[in-house]
Amino acid sequence: MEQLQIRKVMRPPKGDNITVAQARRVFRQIKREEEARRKAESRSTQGEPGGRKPEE
Amino acid sequence: MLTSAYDRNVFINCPFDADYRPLLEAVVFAVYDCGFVPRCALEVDDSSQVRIQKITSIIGECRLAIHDISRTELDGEFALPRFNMPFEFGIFVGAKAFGARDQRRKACMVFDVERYRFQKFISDIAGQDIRGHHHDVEILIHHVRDFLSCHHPGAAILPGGKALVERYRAFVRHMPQSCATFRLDRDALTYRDLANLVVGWIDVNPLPHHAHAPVHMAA
Repeated sequence: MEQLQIRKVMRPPKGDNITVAQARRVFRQIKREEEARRKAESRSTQGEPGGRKPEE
Repeated sequence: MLTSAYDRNVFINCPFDADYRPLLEAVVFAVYDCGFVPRCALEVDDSSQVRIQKITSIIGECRLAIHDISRTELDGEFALPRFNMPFEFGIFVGAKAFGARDQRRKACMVFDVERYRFQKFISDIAGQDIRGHHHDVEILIHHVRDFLSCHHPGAAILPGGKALVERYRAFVRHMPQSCATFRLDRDALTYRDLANLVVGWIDVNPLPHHAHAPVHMAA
């Protein structure tokens, strides 16, 4: 997969409460947690008897 | 092709009160997500600078603008409407009319609550294409996207309004947890904090056209 080069849209000024880098770290963590939740839900759905596809 | 900051800056001229907050956040998100940089008077917290100087300075640095002239209601105390938004719209139009070559390339979109209501209180702009947002974040994002896609300095194809709305909804969904992490009050974010959160979210959830966005230094 082609690696996209992410360019910063805007750099924060000094002295702000939060920086873009800090925001990126938090949102990356949130995204990982969401994906883990989705995978866990998908696995538990496939594991249930009713979730199986009937054989043709 | 690198473009200048002037071509990517978008002056945001809208109410800053609590009622308008969801729309302001949606505009800021949509402008960044389209690959532009929103600029507004809230970005500078400097009491030593006269407000009108802040505003004219920012307008001078923006080729594009989004104006919302919908705050025509009379306030409770003095029974007078707020004139700031139409005034700043006028400054932008004046800069385009009387400014140097770059200023004459200015372009803007104007919002009201409904499309033709403005004819009752600012008839000078009759004949211009005023958009109605009906206080609806989704309608607003669609209009912002369509306006900015006409002025994108690169050859990028922007995602459609529906896709941007979905991304905005995801950003809003992630906001409570991110604000809790930073101990920020979700309903009282400063403009800078909001902007940095939006940029951080987009950096983690990029679209192809974001790869071509040049680095902008903060104002």
